[in-house]
Amino acid sequence: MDKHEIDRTISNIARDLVPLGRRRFLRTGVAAAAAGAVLTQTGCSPAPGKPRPTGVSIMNDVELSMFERLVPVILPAGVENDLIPVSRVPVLENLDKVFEHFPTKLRNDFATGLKLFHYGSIVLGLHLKTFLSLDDEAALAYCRRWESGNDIQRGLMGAIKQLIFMSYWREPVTWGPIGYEGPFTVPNGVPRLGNQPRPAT
Amino acid sequence: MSAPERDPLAPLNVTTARNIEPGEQKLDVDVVIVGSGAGGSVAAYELAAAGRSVALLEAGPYVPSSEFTEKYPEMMELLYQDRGAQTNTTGDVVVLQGKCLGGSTVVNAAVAFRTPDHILEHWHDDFGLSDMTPETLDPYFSQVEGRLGIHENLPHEISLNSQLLVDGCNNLGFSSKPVSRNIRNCALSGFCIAGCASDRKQSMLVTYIPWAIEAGAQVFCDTRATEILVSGNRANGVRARTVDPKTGQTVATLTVNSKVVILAGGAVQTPLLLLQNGLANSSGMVGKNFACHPSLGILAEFPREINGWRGATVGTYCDEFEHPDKGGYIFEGAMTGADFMALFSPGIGDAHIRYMTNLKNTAGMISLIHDRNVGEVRLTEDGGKEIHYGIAVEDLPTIRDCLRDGARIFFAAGATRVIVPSYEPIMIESVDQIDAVVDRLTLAPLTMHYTSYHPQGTCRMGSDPANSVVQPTGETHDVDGLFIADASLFPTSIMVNPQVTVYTLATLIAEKINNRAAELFGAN
Repeated sequence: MDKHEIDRTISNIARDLVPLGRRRFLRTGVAAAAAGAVLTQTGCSPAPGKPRPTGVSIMNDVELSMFERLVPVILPAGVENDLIPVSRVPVLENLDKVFEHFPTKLRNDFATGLKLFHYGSIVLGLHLKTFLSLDDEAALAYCRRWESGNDIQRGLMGAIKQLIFMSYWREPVTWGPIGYEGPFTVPNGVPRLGNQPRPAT
Repeated sequence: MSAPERDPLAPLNVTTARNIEPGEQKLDVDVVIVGSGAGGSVAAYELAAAGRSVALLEAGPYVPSSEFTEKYPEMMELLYQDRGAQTNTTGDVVVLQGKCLGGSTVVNAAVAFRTPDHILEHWHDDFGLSDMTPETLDPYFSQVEGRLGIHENLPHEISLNSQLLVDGCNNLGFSSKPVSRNIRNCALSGFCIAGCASDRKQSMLVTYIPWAIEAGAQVFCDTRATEILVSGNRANGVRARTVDPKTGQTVATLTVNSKVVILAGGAVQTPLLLLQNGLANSSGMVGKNFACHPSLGILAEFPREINGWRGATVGTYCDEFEHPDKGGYIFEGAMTGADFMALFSPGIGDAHIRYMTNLKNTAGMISLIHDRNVGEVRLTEDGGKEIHYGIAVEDLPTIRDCLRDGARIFFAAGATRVIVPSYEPIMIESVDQIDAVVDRLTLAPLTMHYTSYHPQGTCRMGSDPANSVVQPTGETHDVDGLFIADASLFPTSIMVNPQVTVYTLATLIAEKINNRAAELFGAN
């Protein structure tokens, strides 16, 4: 991208944010939202010809490429630790299921946020590269800047990390290394008591 | 001939999208109730037991406890409103409510407080609720407490996580106590807020709802009320749609003609239904005065294993600051499973790895504050909802005190560091750092993560029709025969877990309706 293209992209993102409304946009900062088919600019697209993971059908190509990059950066499981590597957990598949249930409006808001995040690394992050082009160390540093940034940045990073954490830790295979036992009742044969008898009148 | 033997594990006889006859359905009953949580279920049973014909409508699904998997994300998606992602407009307050048969009683932590005396005094003095004194309500409290097995936690029901709250309080000279819970023979699974898989928690799903059915009430799940029918100035029914939860398709429409309508959808849905129908709002108060006990989840790491997910979710509480004159907040020792706690991670990358790896050594508490009723539930132009709520400026000192005292309690119990529930990762490494961190805390959006377990106060009860929606009888000021029986009635926030207050108000309101049977139903 040349400078004019970058400027144009940033100003387009800013334009998108105005009608969105600050408060509505911030709302995306919780348990999620997800992108519509909005992200089409160059540099935010997947590598040509790269196959989609099995079980991922709801996320568009751009959402997929962003989360493929974000997941190992934000959750470096199995990298110098005993956790199960993200490559062995269906994180993207689980994310896909979450996306399926989010309203279109919120999903579009989230898409705008992802756009800002992706291109923001050029201007806001001072990395002179889009997020997808950053190496691991720079990508993590950039995510941390958003974690501690302004309210929009904190909100978006909050949503991103909660989506990723929920999609990883919901898989029982991830629990063993942290000593979490998971479900209790059935494994321990605890009987159901059922309904209480109606009180005597 | 003897009565058939009761099978406590038999599925409830309820109508759902799967078994309702498709098309237009009509029903004539004495009372139709919208919402099957703490208020609706109690009202349904009390009225059915008195001989009234009752239809109970629940927008959420019927999920028997045999389907509770004890996996938090799955249960959040299945049992909670908006799959657990209901928030205020800013996004920094998650507003948790049950959306299933039994409502929030299925997914609460079973903590059972009577309405504090000072709250009732306030309601009495400032809102004209002269019938609601600790003395007059005592028999109603006692009745629900007895029926729901409410008792103060026994020593074995207090987990190490909750004991740490007690230890810290003791070391600081703060008062603490075991909480009371509506539970029988607790299995100590630790999954209260994911639904009790062995039916120990005495939620509406295993108590008042089956009792109401046994007394003749008809229960419809997957069925959302869309219209309150009114003739002249009298409510006389509800129109609803039964929707397949998997496809979102309407399976049937249901018109329930009734002599009394009771709304009990909770403090978010009840005002929305009134606003959609343009009813009961001459005061302009419908949807206003929203409060929610914005809760901070304060975590702390200890140099030993705690496994806080084991045992009762909530075991003890600190009441040192409960009275408004002493601060107006309480702490409850609380912790849940790792698949839920992951969402409260204070950081990303290696910070997240450290947090999760240390989770077995991490204890948790939540704060509940007596927040001001500054929020509003609004209907959007496209029929959606918005929850407008931000911490009042006047409540900022209370929020700061919560964080300050919560951190002090944990350090006094031996914590090595305290994790601040903030968007920006913030740790408190020692007692000396507490004030510096707390004093930086502001009300800027998306600064702190708040969770509301207790939305309340959007159709407040009071004697003055100019500033309240509902009379002290439970009937709306504006529409005859239209009653409300849920936490939207609360004139102020009550600081403590609200289920017992709702059960009690619903019992009281049902009694008042039964006492007017001749007038309302043409019966004795």
